[in-house]
Amino acid sequence: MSTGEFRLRICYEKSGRLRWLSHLETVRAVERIIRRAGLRFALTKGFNPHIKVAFGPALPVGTASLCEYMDVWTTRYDEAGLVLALLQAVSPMGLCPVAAVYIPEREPALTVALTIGLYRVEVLPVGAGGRVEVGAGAAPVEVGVLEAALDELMAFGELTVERRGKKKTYDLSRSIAGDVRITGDGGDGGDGGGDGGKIVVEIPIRMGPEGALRPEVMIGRVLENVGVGAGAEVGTGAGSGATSGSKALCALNVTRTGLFVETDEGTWQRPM
Amino acid sequence: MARKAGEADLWARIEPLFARIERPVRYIGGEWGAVSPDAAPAAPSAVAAPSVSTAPSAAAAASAAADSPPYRVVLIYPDTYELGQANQAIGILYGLLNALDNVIAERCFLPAAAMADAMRAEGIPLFSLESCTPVSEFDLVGITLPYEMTYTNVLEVLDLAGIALRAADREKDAPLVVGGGPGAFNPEPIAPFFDAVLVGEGEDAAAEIVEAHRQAASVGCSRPESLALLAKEVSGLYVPTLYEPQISPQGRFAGMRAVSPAATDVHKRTPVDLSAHPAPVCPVVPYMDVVHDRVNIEILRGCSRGCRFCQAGMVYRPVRERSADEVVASAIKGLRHTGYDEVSLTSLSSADYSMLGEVLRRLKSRLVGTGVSISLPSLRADALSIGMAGLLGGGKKAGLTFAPEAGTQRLRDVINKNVTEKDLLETVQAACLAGWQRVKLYFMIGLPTETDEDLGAIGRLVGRVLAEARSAVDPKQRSGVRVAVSISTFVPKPHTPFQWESQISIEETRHRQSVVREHMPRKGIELSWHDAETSFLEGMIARGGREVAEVIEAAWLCGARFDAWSEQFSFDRWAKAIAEAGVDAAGILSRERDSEEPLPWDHILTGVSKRYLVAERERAFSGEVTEDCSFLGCTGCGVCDGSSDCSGASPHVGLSTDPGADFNSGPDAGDRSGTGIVIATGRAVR
Repeated sequence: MSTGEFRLRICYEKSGRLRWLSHLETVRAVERIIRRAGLRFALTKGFNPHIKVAFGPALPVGTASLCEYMDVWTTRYDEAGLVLALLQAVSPMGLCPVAAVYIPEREPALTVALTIGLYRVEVLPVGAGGRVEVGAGAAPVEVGVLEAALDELMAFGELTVERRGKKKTYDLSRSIAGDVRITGDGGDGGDGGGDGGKIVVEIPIRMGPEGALRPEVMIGRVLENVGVGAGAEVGTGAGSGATSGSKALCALNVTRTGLFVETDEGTWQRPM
Repeated sequence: MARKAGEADLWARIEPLFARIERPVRYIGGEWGAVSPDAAPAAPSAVAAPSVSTAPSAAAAASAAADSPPYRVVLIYPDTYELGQANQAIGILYGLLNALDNVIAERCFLPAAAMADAMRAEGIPLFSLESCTPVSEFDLVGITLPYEMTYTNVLEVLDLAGIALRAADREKDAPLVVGGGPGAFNPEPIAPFFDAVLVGEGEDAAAEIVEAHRQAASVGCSRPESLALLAKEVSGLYVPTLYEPQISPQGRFAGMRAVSPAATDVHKRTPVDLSAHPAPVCPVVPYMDVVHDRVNIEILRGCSRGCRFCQAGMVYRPVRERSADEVVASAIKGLRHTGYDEVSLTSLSSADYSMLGEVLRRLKSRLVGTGVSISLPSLRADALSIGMAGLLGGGKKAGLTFAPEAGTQRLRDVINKNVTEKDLLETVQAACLAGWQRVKLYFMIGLPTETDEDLGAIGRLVGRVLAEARSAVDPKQRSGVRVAVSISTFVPKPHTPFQWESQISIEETRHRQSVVREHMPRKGIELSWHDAETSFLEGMIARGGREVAEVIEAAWLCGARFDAWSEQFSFDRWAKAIAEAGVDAAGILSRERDSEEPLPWDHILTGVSKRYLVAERERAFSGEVTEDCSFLGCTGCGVCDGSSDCSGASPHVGLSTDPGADFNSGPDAGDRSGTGIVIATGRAVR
């Protein structure tokens, strides 16, 4: 750290239509928010100086998030709450900072520290015409059936994914960082899908330098194994677990709900 | 506030397509600076259904004119988001229309091919970015005409929107489809597809069109009555159905016949005082990586250098400047509101801006320590320009672009490109001493009076530029010096002194390309050509009459779209379309016109007199140059006639913004004519 620089950690959400921004587009948009807010940011050294800022692990195009993190270095110490308010005033809906706190310079970089991502995957029924129809009736699959298929895949122990012509095999005992919870209708514990016809899967994924298993790919595969094609993903980018050819019966809506630091004791901590 | 049910419904059908297509960011809207969809009230269109009334939204209720439904405009650029969002005209009109009482303007771009196909398969109509409203539900659909090769995209836009391609086939409730931009100066090839075309700059006319259209709707005019009223009320607005081209027994254009008393000569619109139209304070800030993604401040409009091939230089006269105070204030305000890290001072020829040095010095001092860079996209090949570029400070030197256009001084005199080889070499030397290592040179082939000597001279000039550049840079960096050479084919444009000339054929283009290649240095250069077949089509459309519309429609029916994207372009489709339409395309190109004969764009008046164009043509053939009237006195083009300003040396009057001067259009920056040099200067002003 240079003297007179302050490291401010900001948590922001990415939601609604802006879930379709790529990581680079998000970075650029956030840098422009920082400039609009008039923050006294530090500049990087070098020929082509830009805002000194560092982001956490990239979010796939189409995945929403409740908690993305970035560190920005400022040259003036202003109360974190004030900075947060300045940022919020110039942020578009769907890309809005929700918390800010100063952290010590010695803290490891976000990309290194954050190794656990918690995801919520909503399995939504799809009606005629490819439209997502929540609240229109039964879920595309029963919770019990999905659970059994998931257990089966976990017992098998690995998942091979093909993306842009490259195959990659994930060791599920490592990639899946904890219990996977499946509930009917938005987490109310009801069995069989409930009135809304929506199933919610909560899945913790371990990320590493070699990349991370995408939750929608995992769930898509499980659905495929029970004969439900997820062809019209709402919240997933291309390359998810869609079965091509078969008529889509459900859509997947993915949100990252938590990013955690895994301690030596195996507990998870939020980065701020 | 809840969105209109139908609109939310459309979004729910669009979003699932994103898994199948690339770059969904093109279709999501929601950018900073865009109008909020909540501000677009859930109300029916003001014109199509004036009798239906709904509860106005809270925001609309607060406005004075809440008792009538808002007038809804959608501004469309006929290419993908990343090209269209950079268009300054759309940005200007968007800001200006949204500032009007009870008017809402939204944006729309042509979806990329895969998205368009997916939308067709799902029965999803073309929609606006802000509120996801089908384009066919707007009162006014404004479409930019950036250049010839986007015209099949215009048909793709109309078809995706579910709007009848031909104005004559549109029902009473269909939106008013209005074109504008550089293509408006010869509107005939697209005339049947537009209800009206605005000729010239749109700042003042946009509000007049809205007002006249509202007025027509309020008294229950039929569609033809509305159009006649618009033609009468809005100066510069061309309504094609009021005119009928006459064809001679020899099959040639023989003049326009007025079929209505409302049909008169169309005088282009030119706001005289640009300060009445300041640059948008907060333009839309895209999420997507688009071209020219920065604060753009137009410092100067028009160019009086007088290059004889350049349409922009003729049709955007007179030259108008913004004051230094206004430029500096707009730039600072724009940066603060957008969060951009670059500001560009735009014009057709930025070194002609009389207060450039002052503006650069003031901006530079205001931007210290912010990491914001200043760029000057259009400078000339002279030492002054390099001095200005030097003022921008250190940082990365992206590249310098010069447009000598021709290889010999004789031919440069013919085209009135008043740049000498000495100027060019000295500028290259100065630039390379200042740290630039990449130079790009633009040339044209097929210019009037061109010989093999002129063609061979291009390569020799490139060789001297390369040698000059190598000798000026640090010896260690000598191997890094690159000269990029871009060679396009001359396309005679309407309203220029060369509008009567013949254009070389595809075969002749290829022959001349081979002559140029023979004399080109082999090492240290990157040579690129403008596609000969594309130039042929540009030439056909540029000077075509209304019959060319049949070719464009047939080409689109054969599958032509995104013709400006080389990987999507197919000349075969066009060849088939030309044959089907029975149009003598080669004749449109090759025939040298008589200066007395009627031309299909004669009813479009730019203010530059035909007499002046003829005189300039004669001077071209006698190799006489014409000086820039800004510095050396009136040359009598006719634009300033009757105004008090033209007595002295400078036609520079106060400046505004130009929707028409779309000099950065097209993937290949289409019509760059008139650009002396382009300096994409580097970064940081620290």
